[in-house]
Amino acid sequence: MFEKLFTGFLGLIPVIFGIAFMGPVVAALLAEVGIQDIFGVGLMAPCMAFFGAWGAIAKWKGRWI
Amino acid sequence: MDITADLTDKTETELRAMERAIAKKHLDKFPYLSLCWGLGNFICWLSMWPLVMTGVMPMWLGLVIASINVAASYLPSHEAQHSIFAMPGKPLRWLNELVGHLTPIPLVMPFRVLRATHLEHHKYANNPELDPDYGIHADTAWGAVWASIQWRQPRPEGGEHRYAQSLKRIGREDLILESVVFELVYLAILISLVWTGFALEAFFLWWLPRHIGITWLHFYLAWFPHNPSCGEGRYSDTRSFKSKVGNIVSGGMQYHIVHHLYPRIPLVRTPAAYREMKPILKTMGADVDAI
Repeated sequence: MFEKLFTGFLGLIPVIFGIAFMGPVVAALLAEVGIQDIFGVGLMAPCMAFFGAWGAIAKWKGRWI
Repeated sequence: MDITADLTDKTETELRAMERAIAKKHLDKFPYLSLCWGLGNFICWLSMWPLVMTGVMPMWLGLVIASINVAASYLPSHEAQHSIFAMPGKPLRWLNELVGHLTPIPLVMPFRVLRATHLEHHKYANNPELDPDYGIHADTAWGAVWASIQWRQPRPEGGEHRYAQSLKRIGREDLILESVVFELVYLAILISLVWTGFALEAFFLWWLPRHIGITWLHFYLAWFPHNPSCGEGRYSDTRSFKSKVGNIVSGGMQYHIVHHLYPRIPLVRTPAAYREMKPILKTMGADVDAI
């Protein structure tokens, strides 16, 4: 049971990495170069959504690139 | 030994005895430089954090230094993997293990995993099935960079990571769990930094330097000395080469053949050992023409 939960959690790491790390980092990088929003929406949410989705694809395909 | 010496009249047994006699002169020398390098490099990398976080050091400089730190963090641990600081049972064994465990932390690779897989690499260098580093094989330099990037993917080569396969083969599944714990702690630290206002520091002092460092390590330590023309066997699984960027920038790997023949010779002594052994290595059929 624990092993299944743990393995399931590990499988989600690309998604967690995308949402909780890469998304906010890219939002911070964009803010640093003067981009404050994307089509009027604050940077954080779209970046987290984009990299979360990329992470889900990485989990499915087994590779980011 | 005269580098032009003609050894063709010697038997293989005699040549091996001559080779061992040279190696003996370089074995069991304490690697002071690797000790200072390993610990100093680790302290330098740690010091980047407060310096950049407080604005004393600009981020771009932090990225440059941290990338060098991460790239340089492997080789002192590599000396410890071969017990060069001290063999088991010796008084300084604790120091060997301390350097081994501490110095590769910026790389986020556990010492025990590095040691177990590296010893498998020595046993099976260039074997497509059994060499854990075979995933970095490529015909071109850019191919090697791409192979290194693929090595870091969730499922490299479309399946289980070669290191995990290797650890399973030798019955050390426990080390797979250790790797996973390392990765989880790393991810937790990165995420904590991001959500406490240090997103750029996390990215430029660890995430990006780690990728730069691993690419450099794969290129100069795994690909260059073993590819693309090397085969399997004592004198053919690696070679010497002349690096355009010099021996230091290429991680001391120009003389990697000496390391595969005598892994307990400290890195800084491999050039001297190589120069003395070269006529023997050439007679034995090794690829030593480049330098």
